[in-house]
Order: sequence, then structure tokens, then C-alpha cells
Amino acid sequence: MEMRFTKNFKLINALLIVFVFVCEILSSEVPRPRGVSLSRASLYPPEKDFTCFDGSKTIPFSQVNDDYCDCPDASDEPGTAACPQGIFHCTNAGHKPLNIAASRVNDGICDCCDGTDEYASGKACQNNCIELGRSAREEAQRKAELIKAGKQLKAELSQKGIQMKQEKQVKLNELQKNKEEAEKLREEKLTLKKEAEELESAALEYYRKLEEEIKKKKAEEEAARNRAEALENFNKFDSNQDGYVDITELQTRQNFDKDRNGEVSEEEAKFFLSEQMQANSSPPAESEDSQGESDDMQDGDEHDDAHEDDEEEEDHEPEHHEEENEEKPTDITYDDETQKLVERATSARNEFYEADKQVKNIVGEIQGIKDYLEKDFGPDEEFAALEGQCFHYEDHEYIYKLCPFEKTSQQPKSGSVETRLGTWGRWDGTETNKYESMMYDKGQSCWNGPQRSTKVRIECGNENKMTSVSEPNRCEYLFDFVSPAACREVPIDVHEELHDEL
Amino acid sequence: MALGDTTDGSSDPFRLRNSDVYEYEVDSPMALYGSIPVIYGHTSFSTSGVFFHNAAEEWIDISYKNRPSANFFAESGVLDLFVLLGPSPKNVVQQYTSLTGTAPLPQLWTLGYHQCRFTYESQEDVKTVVATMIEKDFPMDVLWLDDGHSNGNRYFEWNPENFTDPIEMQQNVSAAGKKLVSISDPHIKIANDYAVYNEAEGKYFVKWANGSDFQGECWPGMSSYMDFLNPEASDYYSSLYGYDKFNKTTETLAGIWNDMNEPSVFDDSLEKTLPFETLHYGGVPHRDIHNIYGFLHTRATHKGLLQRDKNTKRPFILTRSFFAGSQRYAAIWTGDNAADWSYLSTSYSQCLTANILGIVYCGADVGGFETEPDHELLQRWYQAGVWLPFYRGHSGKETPRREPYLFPENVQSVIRNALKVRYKHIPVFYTLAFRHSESGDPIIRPLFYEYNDLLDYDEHVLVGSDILARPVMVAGATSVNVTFPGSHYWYRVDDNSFQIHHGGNTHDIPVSITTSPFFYRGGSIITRKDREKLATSHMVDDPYMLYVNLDENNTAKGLLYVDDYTSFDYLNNYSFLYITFEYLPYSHGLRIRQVDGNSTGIDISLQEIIIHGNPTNPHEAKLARNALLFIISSLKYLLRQGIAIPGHSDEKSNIRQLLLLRAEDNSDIKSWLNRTNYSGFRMIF
Repeated sequence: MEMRFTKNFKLINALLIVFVFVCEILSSEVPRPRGVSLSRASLYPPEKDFTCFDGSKTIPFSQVNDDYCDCPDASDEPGTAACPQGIFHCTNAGHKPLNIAASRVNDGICDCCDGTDEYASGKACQNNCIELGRSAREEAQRKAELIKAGKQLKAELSQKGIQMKQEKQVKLNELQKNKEEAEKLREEKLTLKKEAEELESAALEYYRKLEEEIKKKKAEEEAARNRAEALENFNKFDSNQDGYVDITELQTRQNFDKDRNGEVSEEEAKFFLSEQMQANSSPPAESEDSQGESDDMQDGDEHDDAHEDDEEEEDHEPEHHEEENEEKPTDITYDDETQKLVERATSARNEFYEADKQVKNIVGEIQGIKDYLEKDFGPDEEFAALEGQCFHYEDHEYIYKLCPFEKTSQQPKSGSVETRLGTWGRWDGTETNKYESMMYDKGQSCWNGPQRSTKVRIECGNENKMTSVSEPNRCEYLFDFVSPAACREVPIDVHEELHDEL
Repeated sequence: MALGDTTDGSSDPFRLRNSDVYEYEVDSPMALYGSIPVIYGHTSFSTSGVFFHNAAEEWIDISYKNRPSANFFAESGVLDLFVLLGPSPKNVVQQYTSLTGTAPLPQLWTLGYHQCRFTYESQEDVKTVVATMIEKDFPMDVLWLDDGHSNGNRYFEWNPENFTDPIEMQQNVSAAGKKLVSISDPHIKIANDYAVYNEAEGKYFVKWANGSDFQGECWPGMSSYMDFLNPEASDYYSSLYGYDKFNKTTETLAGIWNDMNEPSVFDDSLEKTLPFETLHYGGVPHRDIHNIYGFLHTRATHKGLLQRDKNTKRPFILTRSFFAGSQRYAAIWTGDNAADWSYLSTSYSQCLTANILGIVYCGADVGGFETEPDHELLQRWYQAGVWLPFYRGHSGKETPRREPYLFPENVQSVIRNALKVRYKHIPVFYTLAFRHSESGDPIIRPLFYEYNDLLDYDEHVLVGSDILARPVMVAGATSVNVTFPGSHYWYRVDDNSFQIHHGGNTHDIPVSITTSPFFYRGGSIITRKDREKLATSHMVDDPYMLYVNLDENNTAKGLLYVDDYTSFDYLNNYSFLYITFEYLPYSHGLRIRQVDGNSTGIDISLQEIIIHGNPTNPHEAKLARNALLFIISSLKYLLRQGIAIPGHSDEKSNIRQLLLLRAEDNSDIKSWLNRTNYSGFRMIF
């Protein structure tokens, strides 16, 4: 039997003896077991038995870091991969200390820059903490400088933003005053209009009746004419004059030969009888009638559209519409007096509409300013200056466009059609800084897919610029954008110090 | 797995015609990606089979009228028929694999978790996924490069926009102990700035009768198709994998994915493949060899990888199209499935079937390729995927990304746990992989393979013969119905209860989202590596845990195979360790025997032996480690001396004498011996 338990030998013969000086090698300052941070060294007094931090067990100190997990809380194996939840601490002198999962100890991967996590795997890790530390510090310095410069620009931006909002506020107050005046004027014009229209209406009463009579007469004549024509046609088809049109009668008429095969088949005849086996003589004019009806309905629709605005008026006056409709077809001339009244009413109406338009314009403008004032341009209005601008980014295929607070879009370099990738939605950064990203959703729908959307990540930079575009998920875009407006003091990271209390 | 009747008018015959089927139907006789023209007849007392060795399109009618029968219709070719006499399922499978071959032992990393996506967009994307998987504590061995890595689907050329520094990317992945697999399809883009096309044009492609190259639409646009039947074309194709040809590749690009090799042609009028009248080398019409096109493709790739690494590494290839014998070259997956519970459960039937047909390395896209799985389905799929030999998460372009770390913490934790369960059992899979390569025994087995009368338990899977898994495959389950085969104890492991269920019964086993039932067979010893590492490469030196699961006689046995996990030394130099563990009920000792191999240079260590038994039996307990290690090393000493191993509580037993001797220089063992009045292992529980 050729069995090799080399590892075991290591464990058995070496471990118990070895790790006594392991502790000593490891830390020049304070002796402590491998993988233990300085702040916790005192929890491992070598002269005493070791009690698991959770108090569940006490073991001889020789069993600390013996590559066997005794404590459920992993506290006896800070320097080996034996416990599932263990934490290994690397000092990383020259750089930042690091806590790694103990399962990464001796796994052949250099996790710690000082290489201390690979002490028995045969992996030769280089200690590059000094270099890493240096470049990390340089990077931190670069960032700090960027932030410093960026903050200057940001201050200017936010000053501009605040000023813009203030100006808008002033304008708003002004407009509100104007609005009151305009409304007063409108009220006056409304009174005048009503007076003029009352007079006009009274004068027109006589003509209205006259008009109705003429119209009624015309309608009767028209109906009689239609009926005569229909009857004539019916009799033409009703060859046997029995008062019914049947299939055989229709079949003799070539106009019903739908498929142009020279014959009117039964099906074709039926088609024109619209699935009734017979048509009697009473409704032949129906089709023309219904045609007329649908025309009327269309007219009605048009009126509604045209006067939608008017309908919002406080004084909705139906006569006004009828007049416009009926003035033309009737050839009635008014007497001079009436004519004058009509003209006066018309001009009163026009003046009212003018006054009303004025009010609406002001209301619209006020709403625009209110919308603006409600927009969240950041705690110090620092993003306000981005509104109304657009920024571009090109990759090998597309030109991407970001118009902050408005939209994101994409246009092929070879084409002109712009695809909307999203419409300004909201800030959607993290809880600590909601202004670190924007969400533009409700873009154009993808073929067979969802509506496009874009997340815009914003970082500190000394100019406003798009730096990259990607599509991490189908139809979900990610833009990176730098702007001085995003320069802010990074809160000191409490985790940096690696407090490792359990 | 059992085939339905196709002659009662309810169904078409089963069709064997390798096809690129988009969103294939579950439980249908329709043609899928691969064909294995073998049929097994099975009753509880006898099993036999027929292998119809013919690569043309085939239709098979199954009838159960009078006596069960199968009618094979082949489009062309010769009648080359093998009858497999059985009489047991094991015999039939062995007979079949002795004809078509077994799957050779793979590298260890291929048994880990594979993360894929159609498609990782850039080298930055790749590095970010690898780094985030590590940061979020998800074990993973391989990241897959779908066609996004290639230069507009010109395989063997990197995407010049998004993969500008592939060497740096591979170094980055390698430093994390991970590998890459990249895709390489058999269609070759027609482009005069593509070296492969220029070199193959007019020579190496499938042709029309008039001698012109066939051209058809596929991913890159108009393409021609490699004629792998042509030895020169095949060798040329193999050579493309060389480090000198496939520029900027390193060993980290450790495997190749042969997709679209039915082959797929985007033309519905051709039923999405080559016209049957096109010609291969020697004037062979495609009609005659359609079903082995993918097989030939993987054979060429396999040779290419062997050559590339100068026969020092076992190639890994994944193929979509396959035929009888494909196991010699490639693993398979079940193609473009969808995020639906029915595809989850059918993945078990598909891979169990493949396993008794020699193709043991089989898996399904975890989560479903098409459409988006809800969280429950995704978690259940990760849990079920643990037990299929090939374990890969993959998702289609049209679905949101699905790397495990993208989900809420509770979902992440279920997925993480599933992956860790897999990694702990890697030694089991590897040992079974070796055994399969030797004997043809499947890695995963349907119940009837071991228990002949238990047919139609497709949601149960035996991993080897010692692990029974019955994952949840429906939404909202609070329990699953488990049939416990045989007359053994079955110990429930997924909830850590090691509760015993008795074989021969069917029980409703309660589940929560964190549990996915699996059981160890009483009488087995399961060898695991329980340290939670993030890749198989990190686990090589980890100590083993022995889970001893006692049967009613308090005995248990287990197997372990170990080698260098990478090379062919196990074949060439016999360099491996293959041992059995046997628990001895009277002495409570452990007997270790080497079965085979030359284990020089192979180190293993044992950490702990965990014994479970009938609760009425006092043997269940955990062995204290120092004493155990002493005992094992002592055993080893005795074995080396050719001295008989442990006795009972006999004061004069060899082992006790030795332990006393050695205890002289070790206070632990001395105090233990004094304390325990040694009577076997029991006393140190």
C-alpha cells in the first residue's frame, strides 16, 4: 500500500510545534497569531487556554490556527481556511490593511498585497504594498485636487443656478401681478360681450325663425326627390314587379358581377342583398341616408375639435357655434339696425377673446416658471446650468446625446433617425447621494422588447463631458458623465479603518 | 424517459435529424439538436437494446400494441445494427459504451460552475463579472465568451473594438484562478479580409454538385460550411486552434464551445440546415451524414486542442449537436431552453437519458436561455443544476442579465449555497468521472439503473449510487414526493438533519426555498471538500471530509480518485490515487485500501470523519481530530509494515501498542489514551 499523507505529517509533527514561533515571526511589534489584527492581538494571550469569542468552547492555545475549526464563530482559526466564516487580516504595511474571507488563505491567489495570505500554498506572492500604497495615495491626491478645482467651478455653477431661480422667482411675482390685471380686464370684456350679445340675440330672433322655415322646406324637397329616385331604381331591378328584389333578378344585372367572370353568381347576388334573401321596396334610400348621417357626424367632430379651447371658457355659448354654421348657407340679409348690433357683438366677442388669450399666456408662463422652480437641480442648484444644453459621445457606430433634464438619444453615424433612449425621469442615486445618477426612462420601445431607458452616472470632473456609453442590458443604457457640479467632499469612509470587532 | 406510443395517431414518430430548434417543445417527438439512434427495452427483470449505426435522418415509431416494438426508418445509408443483450441496465450501458466509447476524464475545473451570457460585451465586462463573482463570494471556475468576443463572428479573430487586449484579460482571469471558454461555430463568414475564409475557399467547404461552395446565411451573414469529412479540411480546422493561429490566446482560454453545428443555416425552406443534396468529401451527399456533422466538428476541435497543448491537457469542448460517440470529444447541453418550470424538469430527463447513452457531461442552461425566470424558478434551477454533471448559468440577449450577484440578498444567498453544495461534492463528481471513463457507468443515473423496477422517476437522480437528489421542480412547493429506493437508509443532507428515511417508501419531504432535498445512502462514505473556496483550482490542497453514513449493520464504504486534475499522466504513467474507505463496525476503525494507480507525488489529507448512523445506535458522532490524525498515520505505519490493522478493545492490539508508543512524545494522545480506556474510535466521539 502506497499511501501518502504528507499533509497529515505536516499537521501532526509540525503544526503543534511550528505555530508557537509562527506567532513570533509574524509580528515584530506584538506577538499574535497569524491573521489577527493588531487591535485584536490582546484577545489571543498565548499563555492561557483560548476561549472562542462566542464563549462556546475553551481549547488549549495550541489549537489556535491548527487548521482545524473548533469555534463555531471561527475565532480560533484567524490564520487558516479551516472555518467557513473566518476572517483573515493582512497588515499590508505601506498600504491599507485588509480583511479577507479566511477561505482565501492558501488558495493560490494573492489577495493581500503583502502576500501574507499565501504562506503555505507554494504560491510566491510579491509584496507590492509600498507601490500600491504610493499609487493609491497619488490617486487620492489627484482626486482631491480634482475635487478642489471642481468645487470652485461648482460654486460658480450653483451661484448661477441660484441666480437663475431667483430671477425666475422675480419674474413669477411680476407675472402674477400681471395675471391679476389681465383677469380683471377679461372680466370687464366679458360683461361688455354679454351685453352686446343679448341685444344681438333679441334682434336676430326674427331671422332665426325665418331661417328655420326655409330650411325645413328644403329638407322636405330633398327627401321627396330621394324617394322618387330610389323607387325608380328599385323598379328597374324588380323585373317581375312583385314588389321584391330577389336573387334571380339581381343575377341578370351585370353590375353585380364582382369577379368579372361575365356571370352574376348566386353568391355575388347575395352579397349585394347583404345576406338577406330578399329586399323589399321600403328601404332603398337607406344607404344614402346613412351616408349623410356619417357626414354629419364628421362635421360634428370637427366642430368639437375647433372649439375645444372655447369650451374651457366660463361662458360657453352654444348660439355662437350655430351662427357660424348657419350664417353662410342662408342668404338672409339683415336690416341696418340688426347688422350694426351684430357687428358690435362681434367686436365685443373679439375683444373678450383677446383678453382671455392674454390671461392664458400669462398662466402658461407662470406654469413654466413654477415647473422650473420645482425642478431638483441639486441641493445648491449646481446642475441648473446643464438644462438646455446637450452633450455628445461617439463610439464606432453611434452618436449618443444627453440633454440633461430632457432626454437621452442615439443616432447612427450613417443615418439621421434619432432614437429616444429615455425621457428625464428622476434622480436615482444612492441614499447617501441621490445626485450621483439620473434616470431617463420611457424611451422608444425596442423591437419585441421593453421601452428603452438610460441611467446616467455623474462623477466629479473639471468640465461637463460624456465619458462612456454602454448597454449592460438590452435596451438599458448606461452613460457616464463628468461635471464640476458633481464635485463634493467625499465623506470620510468609516470602514477604511477596518474596525473588526465582531 | 420512457418513450410514448407514436402509432396511436396521437403523435408523429420520433425524429432524429439534428436541428437548430428555437424554443423547442417539451415532451414532443420533434427533432432536437442531437441524435443517438439507440433504443433500450427494459422490464424489471431484463434489459436489452439496439444501436442503429446510421447517420442519416431517421424516424422511429414506437408501438405498445401486442408487444412493444420500435420501427426505424432511415433516409439513406446502410443497415449497420448492433444488438445489446443486457440483461441488466448496467450491462446494456456497458455494452453500448464499449462500442461507442466512454467520455474521457475531464479536467477538474470543468466540473465547477460555468457563467455564461449571450454575450459578454467587452474585456472590461469579462473582468468585472469575474471580480464581482469573487467579491460577492460566488464560486465559479469559468467565464464564457459568446460571439461578442469575435470579430463579427469571424472565429479565431478577436473583436478589435471591445477585446483590444485579450492577453491582459486572460492574465487577469488567470490570476483569479479562473478560465475562459470561447465559442467557435462551423460556419465561416464569406469575407475576403478573413484569412480562414480565404484559405478554405474552394477547397474545404461543403459544395454543390457543380463544385461551387455552398453559401448560406448564419450569424455572420453569408457563410460557407467547413467540410469536416475532408481529412485535409479537418486538419486545417484543427490547426486554427494553435496558439500561433488563434492570436493572443493562452492556456487560460481553456475550452471551446462548438455551437450551431447541426449545422444551422438561417433558411426555413431548408429546415434550417444544409441542403441534403450538397456534397462532402468523396462525393458523399449531406443526406448520408447529416447527423454526424456536429460530431465531426467536435472531433476536429478536440484534435486541435490536443495539438495546441502538445497533449498535456485534457481538452474541454461543449457541443450543441451530437451523435452516438460524441462523448469521446465533447460535453453537451440541452440547447436553447426557456425560463419555464417544464424546461427545468425536462432537463433531468434529457441528461439522465444522455447519461445512459454514454454522454455523461450534460447540463441545461440554468435559469433558461430564453425569457426571464422569476426569482423562485431561478433559485430552484440553481439547486437542481447542482446534480447535473455540466453546471452552467446562461441567458439570451433578449433577457435581462442574470449574474447571481444581481439579485436581492436573500436570492443571492440561496444561489450561493447551491454553488457551494456543488463545490463540496466536486471530489464525488471527479471520482465518478474516472469510474465512467473506465467502465461506462453513468455519472448520474435514473432510479431504474440501480433499482430495476423503479421506472419513470425522472425528477429523481442518483449521483453515482450513493447520492439521491430530488430537487423542487414546481412553483410554490412546500414539499416534494420522494421515492426512497432499495432497502437502505437514506440520510437527508440538504437541511443538515441527517434524518433517516427507509428505502422502499415514498414520503412527502417538507421543503423551504433554502432546501433542495438530497440524501446519502446508508452504507456509503461520501468524500467531500468542505472548505468554501471560489474555484476548484483553490481547493487542490484542501483536506477531505469523510461523511460516513452507516447502514443497518453499521458498515459503510466509499471511493476516492485523485490525480493531477489536468494532464494525461493518469493514463501514461498510471499516476493517480484510487482508494477505498471502509468503516469497520466492531473496532470503529477505518480501513483504507489502495485499489489502483501509482500515487507517488500525490498528497491528500483528511480533516475530519463525520459518522451518521441509526439514532438508536451509539456510533453516531464526530471524531476528535488530533486523535484521528494520529490513528490514520499510525494505520499508515502499520500498513507499510504489512501488519494487521486495528483490533477491538484488546489491550494488546497492534494499533493500541503503536499509539502508546507514539503517545510518548505527544501529550494530546497520551491524555486521550489515559482518559478513554481505548476501545476503538467510539471513545473519542
